[in-house]
Amino acid sequence: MSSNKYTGGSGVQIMKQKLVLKLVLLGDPGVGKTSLISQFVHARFRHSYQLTVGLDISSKQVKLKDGRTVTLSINDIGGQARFAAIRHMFFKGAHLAMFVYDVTRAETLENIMDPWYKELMEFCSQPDTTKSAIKTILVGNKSDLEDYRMVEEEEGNSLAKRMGAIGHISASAKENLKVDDAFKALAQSFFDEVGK
Amino acid sequence: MGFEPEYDYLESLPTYIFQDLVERWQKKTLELKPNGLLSEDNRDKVIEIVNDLKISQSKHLTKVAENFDLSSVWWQAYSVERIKPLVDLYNRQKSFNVTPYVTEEGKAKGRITSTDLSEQATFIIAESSSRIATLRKRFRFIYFPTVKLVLMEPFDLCEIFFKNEILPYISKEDKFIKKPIRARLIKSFAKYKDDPMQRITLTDLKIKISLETSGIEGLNQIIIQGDDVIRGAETLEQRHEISLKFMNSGPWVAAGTQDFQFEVSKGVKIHRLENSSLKKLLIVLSWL
Repeated sequence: MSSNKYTGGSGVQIMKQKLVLKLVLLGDPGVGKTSLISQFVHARFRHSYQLTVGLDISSKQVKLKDGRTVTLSINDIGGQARFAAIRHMFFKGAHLAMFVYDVTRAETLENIMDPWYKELMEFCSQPDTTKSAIKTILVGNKSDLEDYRMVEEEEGNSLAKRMGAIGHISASAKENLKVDDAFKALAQSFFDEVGK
Repeated sequence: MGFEPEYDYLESLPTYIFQDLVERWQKKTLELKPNGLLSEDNRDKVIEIVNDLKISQSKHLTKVAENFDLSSVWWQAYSVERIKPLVDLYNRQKSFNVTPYVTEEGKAKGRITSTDLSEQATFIIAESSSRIATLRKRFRFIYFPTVKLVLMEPFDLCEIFFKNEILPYISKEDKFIKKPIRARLIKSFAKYKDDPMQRITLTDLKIKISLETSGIEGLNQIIIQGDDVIRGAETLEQRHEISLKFMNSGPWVAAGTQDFQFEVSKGVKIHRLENSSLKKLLIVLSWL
């Protein structure tokens, strides 16, 4: 299969025959968006918390099921309310969205639907965006803190279904549990869709 | 289904006190008229006996609580399967040999004692006596057959005594599983308000704040206290139109009432032994 198949389709960029997908991570402050990226991209976990100011971008290549690779351009968007006014600018051209909540804080799951999902959908409903192509996944981070878990697995599954996400994964950036699975499943789902 | 009005004094009577009453009646140790235990002729006398039984039960609970200092223990919860009738426990041989359970040299004798706390809770003590001070131990257990749970002290030897000397008499299976206290239980406990008659009023709620969960440095926990902290917080938010966001800034790791307390990674603490508090404790334990 030629990589040309993806040219222009859903706005996928081809840079020197490299497929690049833009991924945005969304979720409340402190849920571990930056930690998930750090673990996935650099295989590192920082115990201290650093606030993401506006936006951080990193990239990593992911191997697809058919053997080809895709580069994920990962956009880490600050979860604080003070960045709300500028957040939508980073949604432009996104192909993938990862909604992240903290399994030890029930409110972070409640906030996925509103404001996070709502914000993305509002942006996607604008005429010049690529709504149909955006694939989403719901990730419950900090699953290693089982004793402190306040969100049941079922609650996450049910929300993922309501959002039309490709699935719900409980992960731990600290213990590197299912972090790669979440990113890879999301990237793969995009190609499963355009390959249909 | 309730009793007829003339028997309403039996409504709040625990079954085991009622059984005690019937047994005494059958053994003819009660000075009653021969018309029947619940006959109109005996009504006043039976009410008097019932009240005495209730008072004596209350005294019994107070005595157990005082003698065994139950409020000092962080109890660990364990589940048991396929329970046996309590009669097996009561009929078991009271003494046992402690020597196989200890590494130290020296003889020690063990003794099991059990007593009812309520119709749904039995207090069990396993103690070893010896001339050697280090072999003199006492471990306490509270068994709740209706929810198939045992609370026990957090010591290895306590578990060994339980497994070998108590479990065979209360369960048909030789396994017991630790049931850790988790934040989900605290949440259910704190939010419980299904039955207004049995409403559990929280006096303490602890919220864990850590780098891992909330990214806040310099703060480990937030504790709110009061006569009814959930209602208090809700009312404060409504009346002053403020947001108490800190309530959700981390997992809820401890919740307590005047009678008992649950805390993640610590266990259960019982401050007061009374029939009403045991009933409420049982509600929360049933969620484990």
